Amino acid sequence: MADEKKEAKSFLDKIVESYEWTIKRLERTILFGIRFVIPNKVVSPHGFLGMLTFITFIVLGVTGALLMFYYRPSLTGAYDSVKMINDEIDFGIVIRNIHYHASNLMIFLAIYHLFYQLFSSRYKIRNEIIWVTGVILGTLTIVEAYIGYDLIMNIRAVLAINIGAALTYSTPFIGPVIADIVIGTGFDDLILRIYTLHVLIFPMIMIILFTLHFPRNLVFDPGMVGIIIGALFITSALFPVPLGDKYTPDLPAQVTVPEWYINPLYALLRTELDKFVMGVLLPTLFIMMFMVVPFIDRSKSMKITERPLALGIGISGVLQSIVTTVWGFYVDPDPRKSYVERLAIDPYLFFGVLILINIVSFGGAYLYSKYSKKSPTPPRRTRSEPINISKETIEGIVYAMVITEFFVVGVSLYMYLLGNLTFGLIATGLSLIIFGFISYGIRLITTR
Amino acid sequence: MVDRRTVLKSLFVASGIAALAPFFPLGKFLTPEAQASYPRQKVGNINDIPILGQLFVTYPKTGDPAKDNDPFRQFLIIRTGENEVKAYSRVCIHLWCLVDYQKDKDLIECPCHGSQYRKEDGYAVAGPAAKQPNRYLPILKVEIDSNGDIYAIGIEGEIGYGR
Amino acid sequence: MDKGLYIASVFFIFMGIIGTWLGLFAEISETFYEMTGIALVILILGIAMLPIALFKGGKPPVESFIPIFALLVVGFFTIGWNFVVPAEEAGPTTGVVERIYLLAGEYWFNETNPDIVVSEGSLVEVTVDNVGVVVHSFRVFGVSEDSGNILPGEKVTVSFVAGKAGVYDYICTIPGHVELGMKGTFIIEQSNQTATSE
Repeated sequence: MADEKKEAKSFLDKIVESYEWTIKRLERTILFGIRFVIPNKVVSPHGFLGMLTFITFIVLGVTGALLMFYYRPSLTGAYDSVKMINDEIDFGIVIRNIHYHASNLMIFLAIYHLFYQLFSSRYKIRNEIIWVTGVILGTLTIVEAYIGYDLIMNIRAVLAINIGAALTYSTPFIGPVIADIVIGTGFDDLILRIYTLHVLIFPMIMIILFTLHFPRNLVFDPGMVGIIIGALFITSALFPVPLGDKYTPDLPAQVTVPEWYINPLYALLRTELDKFVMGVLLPTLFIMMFMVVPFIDRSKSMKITERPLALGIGISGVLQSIVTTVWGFYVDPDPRKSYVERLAIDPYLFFGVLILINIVSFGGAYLYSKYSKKSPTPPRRTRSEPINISKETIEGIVYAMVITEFFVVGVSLYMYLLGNLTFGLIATGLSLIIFGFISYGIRLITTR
Repeated sequence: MVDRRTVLKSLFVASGIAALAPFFPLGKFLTPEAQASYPRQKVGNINDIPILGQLFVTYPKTGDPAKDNDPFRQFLIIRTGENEVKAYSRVCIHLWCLVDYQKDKDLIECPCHGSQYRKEDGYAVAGPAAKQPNRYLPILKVEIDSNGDIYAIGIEGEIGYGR
Repeated sequence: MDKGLYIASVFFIFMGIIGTWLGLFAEISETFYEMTGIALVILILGIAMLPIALFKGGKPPVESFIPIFALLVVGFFTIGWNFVVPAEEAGPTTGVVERIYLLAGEYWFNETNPDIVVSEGSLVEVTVDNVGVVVHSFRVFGVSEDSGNILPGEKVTVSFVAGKAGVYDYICTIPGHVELGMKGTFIIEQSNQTATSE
């Protein structure tokens, strides 16, 4: 009889047993050392901006690995292979656009993450090392993206390589050594070396630094991830990144500007003052300003309005980044003027504006904290009115969203079938966003 | 009195650091054909160039067209006298276009943004290159033997940056 | 509603709108175009976060919709306007076609940069023949589009309608070439004058 009983349970039992067997063994791996928290109610993405940045990093890894199948890291082949990815390979333009926009999104999210942590003083609660590795990771992300778009070898890329090379050479002592290592004997070496740095060495360093940056509890919110990646896909469909003109040494460079994340540097260089001070020293000081925040801001308070120094650094950081980035994009549009004249930025005006920004933000921060201390207003916790929608209605909305999602997925597949990649990608992005909202809807029901 | 454990521990750390030292020369792996190792190569004959004429040469020549077409290997030889030449890198120190010598203006000129260099020493006299911190074109060091053969023996300055 | 997230998303939407406008429509400087990619990323990120910021934890107060309304107005008058109002029609054409043949060399047009005179409202077709050894281009600043790169030995025709009467410059837009002399005068005469002279 016992045998029969064993027989009857065996199939399901085996599945359960093997599941438990696997889990028990997985417990010995590092995977179970990390605690993933999937929030059970609607939470603000501010709490897991770092996780969103990491998700974008994974998107970049996947699309980048796919692009490696076709990209040729050589002086003669680089541009043509990117052109082939763009024009000939099925979905090549989709993968390339997602990779490009994801790089923009990752840097933007990293900067957003930095400023949110700064304004909410998260670096205070024994998070100093996490903060410092975070600033290093952000810088590495920008360098990684910068060498990534150099790989296309169009005129913009060579402008960027040119700026980078000039800055490296102008750095005393280590500069020439680094330049020798990266440039080698010329373009052909350079392109292979920055390719290796871009696809292997920098991502490796970043992954190693992640272990020093990630907190023990990771919040993973499928809803927000769906929304962010959906937004990324829609942007990629709406704005296909132009390929640019191929770099040939006989062709003149058009008046062009680098990507936005190194544009502050470009604006500084265009003041035509000393290259090392403008291009290396000042940006380093700017980054160091953020790095030292936890060590100079020793006040006990967690409220940003009571910490004028951190508030000032935050505001001046945001304003200086925006102003220098936009200024770097501006080139005098009158082609009748000389090239040098069009690019030049008046240093007195430029630094006048930057100094003004600093005075206003630090002065404003100190005045604000002083003023708000004098008249302490007790924080009013006004509970906002709950949304009175019955469980049934939310359920109805969720069902409707599920049906819409399936419809949109169908449209997306049909568009790919027709070869309309733009609308296909928009529909894919839309379906991901709807998936995100479904997950929020379900959370509203389950927490009620 | 320093106790024995501390001495041993610091010896351990010191020996660890010492064991790392031999790895530093291995850094040469990263810099191929560094400046010292430019070969002596024949790049042309002076009698093939008219006075105030120019010759474009590739140095160091490898035989691999993908490498030889590299702008960083393109040089310009101007014959300035009976037995005298001036040789510069063709890469403009501004934005890396290829410069050439304009006989009528007696200047080395960049076709892209109009930077101009003196032929005597490669000094940038006008255009955006004149705004660079290092205003001289890198020099290709050459030797001319009795047959008039020109041998390139090395490069002075950083190509694309100046000297 | 989540106040911090709300402020962030309104700020992002504002930055995104301004950036997209500067990049695509503002016509302040052509190089602003390169800003469009990141501006759209920020704009769509802001739009995606806004509903969570508004509806998290309860009904949003009515005054939180005032900035959103302001954003809609700003968005309409910067970006939306360009879709609602059709692109400005080129002025009335008189049907006269002016064909001009220019040689481009180092660094001149037709060796002497001659004045070009056309009548207002005529359709102008400029063919530029690059007989030089480096790349050139052609543009009547303020009137025509850029021809793009014209390689040595290549011929490119730029056609445009001569708009408002006045004195303009025709130039080679390759950086540095204007200083070296590739610049001439392009005159658009008033149509009634040309009508009387004919």
